[in-house]
Amino acid sequence: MLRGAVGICGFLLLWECAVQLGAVSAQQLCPPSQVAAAFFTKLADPRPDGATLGAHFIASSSVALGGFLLACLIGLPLGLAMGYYQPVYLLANPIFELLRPIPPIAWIPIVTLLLGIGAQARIFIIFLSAVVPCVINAYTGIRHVPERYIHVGQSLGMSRWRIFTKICIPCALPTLFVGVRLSLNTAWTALVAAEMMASVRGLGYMIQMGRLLIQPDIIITGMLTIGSTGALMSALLSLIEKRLTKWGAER
Amino acid sequence: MNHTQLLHRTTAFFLAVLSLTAALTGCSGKTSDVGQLNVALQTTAQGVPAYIAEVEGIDAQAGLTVSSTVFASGPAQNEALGANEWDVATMGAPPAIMANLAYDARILALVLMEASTEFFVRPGSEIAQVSGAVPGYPQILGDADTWRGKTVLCPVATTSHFILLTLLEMLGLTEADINIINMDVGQAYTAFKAGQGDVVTLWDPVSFSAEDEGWVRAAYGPDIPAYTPCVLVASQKAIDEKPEQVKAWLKTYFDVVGQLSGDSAYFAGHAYDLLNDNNVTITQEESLLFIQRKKFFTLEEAAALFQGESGSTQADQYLNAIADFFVGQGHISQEDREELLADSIFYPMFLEELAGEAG
Repeated sequence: MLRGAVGICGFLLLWECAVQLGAVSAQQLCPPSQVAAAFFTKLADPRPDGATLGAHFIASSSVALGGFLLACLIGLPLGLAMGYYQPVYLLANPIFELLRPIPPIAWIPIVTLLLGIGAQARIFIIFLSAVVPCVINAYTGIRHVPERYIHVGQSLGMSRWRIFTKICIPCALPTLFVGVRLSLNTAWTALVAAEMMASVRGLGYMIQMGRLLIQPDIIITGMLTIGSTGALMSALLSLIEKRLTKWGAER
Repeated sequence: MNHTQLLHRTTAFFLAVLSLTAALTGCSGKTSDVGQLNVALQTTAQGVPAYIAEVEGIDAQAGLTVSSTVFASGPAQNEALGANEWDVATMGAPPAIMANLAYDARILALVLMEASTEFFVRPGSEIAQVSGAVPGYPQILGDADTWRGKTVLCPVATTSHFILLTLLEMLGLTEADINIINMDVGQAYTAFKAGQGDVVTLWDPVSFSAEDEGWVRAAYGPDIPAYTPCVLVASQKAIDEKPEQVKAWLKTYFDVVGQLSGDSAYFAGHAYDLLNDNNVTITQEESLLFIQRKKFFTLEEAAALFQGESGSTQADQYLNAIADFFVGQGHISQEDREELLADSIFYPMFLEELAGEAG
């Protein structure tokens, strides 16, 4: 952790020096000191985009977490089923492979027509991005369960369902959690695209207004807030994973 | 042939060659090379004369080597300005103000008043049932009661937003009396078509499809006393390092406007090419309407906007109103507003020189 902190501090120092000494134009990249000032100002000041950083954060968190949770709720069971039951795989995989490469921003017009312009539309945009790693990793986790574990279950007379729930899913948990972490990161990544739809709050909206008003300090503040939040949530998920996958970790 | 005769014939030959060369050069009408200029355009009416000057070789005739890039929006142009990607640009007043505050870009001239914002409602809307509520503006539909509480799809921090606030003022309302949903025009069109919102803000050419949808125009920008000029902008770097090129480009721009402004069809044909070549679909008929709605300032009219005491000219009044709008929205600070006044956003010297030269 210390080395990580030193690395970050070193990077910030390099960045600050590069701008202050003129190696990089301040017009092209504002220094971290200016970003820090913008961060602290935005904690209480709604200018220039109409809301404080806290209000933007709350708006974005609800949308990002909503899309993420929906992705987990639908993506994980779907991926597990696709990995274990061949008919489900044959039915779902072609549609999944077709939709998977489509970037979230391309969905905006269709989602607007189908779901309108409220939070539900933005949550759905995020869901479309975040569901992909859930499905892929859940499927991969099941497919990589060692055959001998399944044979042991069969030899003990376990039903397919019991083998699925008592052997395959616990075995797949580490891979599942990787997918969940990736899904969380993807949800935050898709946030800016989602908040291009009819937003007046949110970190993505704040970044867009920063762009419109040529305030790179606001843009970078928004970007770092998204990045930091994603990293913190990912770290929290890792802690949860360690508790739940003790068996898998010991292996 | 003796030496004298040979000398005379050789001299006559070279003189003939020189005369022919001079004649050919003179016939081409091309001014000696002035230099190179990077131009940033959008798919908007103010970009059309610059586009014509380039594709018709008028810039080249003036000795300018022009390289144009078409951007999707003012913010995109300003990002490129931050990277020194262009010298001059055509844009709206709001991004020009941001370009000045961030990068010291300067407005060379105002070239036309924005005339494309339209506010549409559905035919069954209560707004559409009321007219004449605003004295002197019979084209504006609705009144305070019918507009109050409505959800308006509108891109914020734009000329359309500025015009909307002026419209609300005329109706006796404020921004707090309605619910503005920030959407760019393309998305807003889709959303309104899907049943979202009560009022949609569009600009041309997107707005041309609105009446086909059965929507009713509740208000039209040019009918509202909110004056939002479209402008020509130069980077400070270009003004300092390429003054001849900038002035020459300004001249070709106004030459096109002056010589061709009576020929809407000619302008429309180039508007059709400029927009369709840059992913904005417009028909021939729409491109004619697109141009016919716009009244370009001539060189003399553009120069007249700067007559008077600095800070109090007509141009100042137009930009100050927009700057005040930005301050009111919290988008710029009062200090930024004062900076716009103190360190003038305008650089009309080239324009004034050209007007003087034109006599």
